Amino acid sequence: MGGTGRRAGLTSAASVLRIVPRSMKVENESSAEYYVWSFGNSWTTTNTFERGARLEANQGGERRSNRRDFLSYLLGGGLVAWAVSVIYPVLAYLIPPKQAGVEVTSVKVGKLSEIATDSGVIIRFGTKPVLLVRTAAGDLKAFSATCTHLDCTVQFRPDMGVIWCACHNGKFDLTGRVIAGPPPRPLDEFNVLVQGEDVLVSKKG
Amino acid sequence: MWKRIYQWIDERVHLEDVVDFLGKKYVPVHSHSVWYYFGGVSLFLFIIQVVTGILLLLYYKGTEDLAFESIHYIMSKVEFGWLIRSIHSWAANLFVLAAMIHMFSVYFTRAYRKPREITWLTGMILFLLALAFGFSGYLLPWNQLAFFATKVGTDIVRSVPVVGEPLLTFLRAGEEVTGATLSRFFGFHVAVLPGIFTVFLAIHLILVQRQGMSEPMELESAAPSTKRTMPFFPNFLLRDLLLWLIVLNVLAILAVFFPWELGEKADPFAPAFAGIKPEWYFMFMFQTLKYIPSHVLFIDGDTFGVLMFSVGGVLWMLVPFWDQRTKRGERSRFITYLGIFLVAYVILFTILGYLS
Repeated sequence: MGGTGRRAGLTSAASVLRIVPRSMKVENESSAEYYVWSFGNSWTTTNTFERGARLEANQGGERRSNRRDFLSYLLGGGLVAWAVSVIYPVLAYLIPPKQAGVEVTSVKVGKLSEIATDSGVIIRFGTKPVLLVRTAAGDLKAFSATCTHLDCTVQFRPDMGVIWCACHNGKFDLTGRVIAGPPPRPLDEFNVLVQGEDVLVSKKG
Repeated sequence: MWKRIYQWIDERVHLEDVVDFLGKKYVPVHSHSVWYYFGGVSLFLFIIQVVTGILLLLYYKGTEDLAFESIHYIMSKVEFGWLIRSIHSWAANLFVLAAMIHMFSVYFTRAYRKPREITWLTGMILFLLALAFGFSGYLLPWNQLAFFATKVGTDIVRSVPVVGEPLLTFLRAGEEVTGATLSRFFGFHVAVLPGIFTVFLAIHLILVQRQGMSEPMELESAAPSTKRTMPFFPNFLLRDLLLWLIVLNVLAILAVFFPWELGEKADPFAPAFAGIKPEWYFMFMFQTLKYIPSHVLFIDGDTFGVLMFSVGGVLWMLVPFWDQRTKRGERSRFITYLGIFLVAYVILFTILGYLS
């Protein structure tokens, strides 16, 4: 450090560590302001400086400000890295892990004789509800029971002959197509297989 | 005795400033003074919610297996449990209602204008938090109605562009509404929201105390000698307290004669039943979504609805900043008509929601 000796304009208790020009270009030394880092732990400005400081500012100014930029980048970058290392784990923690459940591809529903014609029943397909409909003609149809609108569970309405969602009055026909109401897409269809007496529902494709 | 305690504290923290401040605080008296009371009523109902909420916490269990059963237990076995739970449900609804009246009265009297923009903003944040309280609390009994209302309510989040899916997973704690969602909502309801709410409530109340009540615009220019005022302490405060007592009585009457039902336990494999509806304060939005076709122009109908409500909400929140006429001290008809339109819209769509 060049700044030794008498420290004009500073409190006598503060010990000067560095003297750097406030602006990059010092055109008039006697009026230029200088940042002085002192043991008072704050940047102080002064426009009175002594010989040693002037020499340093003139000769080493460029080099010093480079070093200072480097330090700022280092500190700034460190701060960003620190913030990311705090925030990322918290955000990641908020999203629950994927359930490593067994992928269900087919479900045995029960005996054909137990399913009345012109009725619908909701069955568990893994974690999702599936609607199994036996039409008045005796055909078996299965659809995802989750309404494509806003996730309500649909039901078969024998009186209307449609699949109906109670939440927003959405209606689907017995091929899963939307015939009324707000649902944007048809219901996903499932395969129904009758093996002897057993009714099996499985995913399409 | 009291005097000595007061002196003991006063010597240490100098209470005279506070006493002096309260003594000099006046509330304007005019034909719209009645609206001043709704902020206080909202505050009182919030306090009721904190107290009854803590009482419910002593027995409530926030898990899929026990949530419904624990509320059933509170209502049937615990002494006065039915009363506490009923008051909590009723006060929640009255709280939103009082806050709504408070908000609209502030809007119509333009009390949001300079210098009270921050008070309006914090008030709006408090109102949104109150809605979040309502939404998260609705699920906690884990009954069929709550289950499907939460499915629908959270599914709407899916229509938010870009962040919709992650946000949905965050809210539901997975892809579906399950016990994990219940735990999460329970956490929001009893820890996250109260914490945030308290901070904004403190700012809101400190601002109201510092700036005093807003005067109606037409009174501002009136000569000081013609203005009537009332000391805040004790005149206004006593009126406030009297009203709180009335509100408490109304709550008790509602809770006793119209106890809140528990319904049936949620079953993820039962179809939604007719009459699935959200809390009344979400009804107008829910009803609007019903009328929006599945596609508007090139975007999904629900996304369109959510966008409209979000944009509308943000504009409403920022009214102190874009309302230029009021800034200039002029009376803006547009602001009045917009307010009347909104009130009429909310009322009409709420009624339609209950009729259909």
